[in-house]
Amino acid sequence: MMTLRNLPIKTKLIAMMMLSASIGIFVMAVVISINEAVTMRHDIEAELATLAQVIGSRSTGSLTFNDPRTANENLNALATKKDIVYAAIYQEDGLLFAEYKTTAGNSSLQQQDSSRLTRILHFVSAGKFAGTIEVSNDINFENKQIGTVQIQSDMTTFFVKLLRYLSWVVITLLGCFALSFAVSTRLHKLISTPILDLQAVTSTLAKDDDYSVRIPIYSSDELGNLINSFNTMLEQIEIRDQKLAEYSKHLEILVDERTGELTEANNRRIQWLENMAKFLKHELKNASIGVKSSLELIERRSQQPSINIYLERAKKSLNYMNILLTSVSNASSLEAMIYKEPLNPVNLGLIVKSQIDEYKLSYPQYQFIGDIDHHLNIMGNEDRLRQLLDNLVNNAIEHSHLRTPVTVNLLNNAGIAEISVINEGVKLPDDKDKIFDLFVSLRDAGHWKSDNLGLGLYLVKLITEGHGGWVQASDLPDKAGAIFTVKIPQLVN
Amino acid sequence: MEHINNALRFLAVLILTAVISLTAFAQENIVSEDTLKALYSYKFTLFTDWPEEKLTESNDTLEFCIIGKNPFGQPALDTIQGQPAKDKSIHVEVYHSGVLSEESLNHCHVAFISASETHRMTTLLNSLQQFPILTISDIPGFSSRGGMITLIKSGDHIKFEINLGAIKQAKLTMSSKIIELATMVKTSNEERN
Repeated sequence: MMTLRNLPIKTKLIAMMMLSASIGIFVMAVVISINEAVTMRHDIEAELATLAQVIGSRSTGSLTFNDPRTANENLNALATKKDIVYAAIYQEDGLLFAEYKTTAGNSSLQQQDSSRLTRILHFVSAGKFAGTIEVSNDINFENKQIGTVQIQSDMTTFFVKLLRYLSWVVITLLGCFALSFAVSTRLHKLISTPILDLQAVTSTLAKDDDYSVRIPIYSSDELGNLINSFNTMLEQIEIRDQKLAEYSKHLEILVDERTGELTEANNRRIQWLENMAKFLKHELKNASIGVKSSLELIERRSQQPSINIYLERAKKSLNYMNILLTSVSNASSLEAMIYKEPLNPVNLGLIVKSQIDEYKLSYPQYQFIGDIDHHLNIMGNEDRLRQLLDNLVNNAIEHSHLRTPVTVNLLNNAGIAEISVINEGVKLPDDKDKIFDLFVSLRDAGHWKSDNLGLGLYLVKLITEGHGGWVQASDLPDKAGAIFTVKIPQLVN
Repeated sequence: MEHINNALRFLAVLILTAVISLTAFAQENIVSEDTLKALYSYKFTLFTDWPEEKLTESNDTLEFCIIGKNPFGQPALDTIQGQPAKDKSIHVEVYHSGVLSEESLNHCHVAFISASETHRMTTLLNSLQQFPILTISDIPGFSSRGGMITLIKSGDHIKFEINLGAIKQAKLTMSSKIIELATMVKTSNEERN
């Protein structure tokens, strides 16, 4: 059954039609053959009965006048019937009166009995159609039974007729099968062609996503209605796709417009910030020069130590203000530069390696450990990447205990280049998501060793996002300390 | 010794009784010639058809007339007397020698001409041929002289000759079932004359 299910629908339809027709024809042939065999046997029996009646009628004189010679002559007339192997006339009291035997009939019968056909027929018909047929008929004269005629016939004629009939049945069956096959190979198209068209179109749809195709309709039956509905569905999908394409195009235009507007607004904001930073730097620098010179004059002329303390405090504040102005100016400049500078293929492994070597020279009191994959390439700006590493390492040094290692790793994680900088020391604040924001510093909380304007990690975030990546910070799982991880997509090929 | 004589006497009586019984049994099973001829004559009536008017003129008997000296013994006559034939029963009647009237002859369905009538057989046949009467006889040459059926003894069997011309002339019909058993003869003109 599974094999039949997996056959093509064309073959399946032909097989179904052939099978149905074959079963019907075969059953009909079997029934007709059996009926014919039974009828033929009945005909033979009827013929023998007629012969027995004729012989009996002709033998009434012989029986009446006790003349077996004439009775034998009557029986010998049966020699023309080759099937009859034995015949006899018995008197009223059952004594044998006349007899006819044919030696040829007996040998024929024996041959028949030993033939394979007889054995088969004997087996199939449970003995009904094999061996001999025997018919007895009473001989009546003047309303009185005066004797009996018995005739035995072998089945030679029956078998010959039956074989001839079965041959014709087999030939007719083969002809019917051939005709059935010829008709079914044409008729199956009524059903298979629309289904195969449907299957071909659905394959085309799945492969090419082309909803403009249509299936030809051959009939107005259920299959025709199905194809019509399918075509209608394709038409609706095609219209919907056209509308979607229009909406998509409109949306793309809209997004482009909005993106342009946002980019322009962002550029204006960055430009405004840069200008503002330059302006403040310039104006506050001029102002601070005046303040500084005034403070120096006051310091030279004033001999009071208490005033010197205030002056020193004012100079320190002024110095911090200058640093602040420089940092803001650098940050705004960097933000503007990051989106303007082109990105090129760079070997990140070499950059990280050279930077670590430099840190070892610059910070001999710290131990730097590195696990570097030297074959990681990304699209990037080498200067900005070095700046990113500087900020991360500075942040680690600032928040680590002396003589504790600072670990810098560069790994390939499923197409993502991962730079991680790990230090042992101060834990991260609870609100760790804000540490990458501009001017956010937890210095006042007392955890940080040096002054911190909150610009370093902001620059790290800025440079990372400029390279299409993202940055995250977390505490070390087993000891006090932090791990900062920068993830940037690798260069494909 | 006396005992032995008694025993021998008893054995002799026993053997004699057995022999007598066996002889009687054998005689009972051997059909005599006259009985056989009577039976044959009766059976001819079964295969013969008379004109309808001939059969209707007698009520319920089929007259079997023996003309001349009766050749059959009483057992033979008893064998056929009252036997069924043509939905009637056989009635045997003996007509001794003498001149028979036409009325008497017409009364018969079967006329068995006894051998005692050999000398006037031709006259008898000439008288009978105008009536639908089946004529049978065991006189040799009976059929060839215008008789219908002649019974001829042949060994232990009885054969018969049939003269179909005489049967046809008497407006009788004989079944072909016995014609094939008989020897066909024709009327010899010399004999008739």
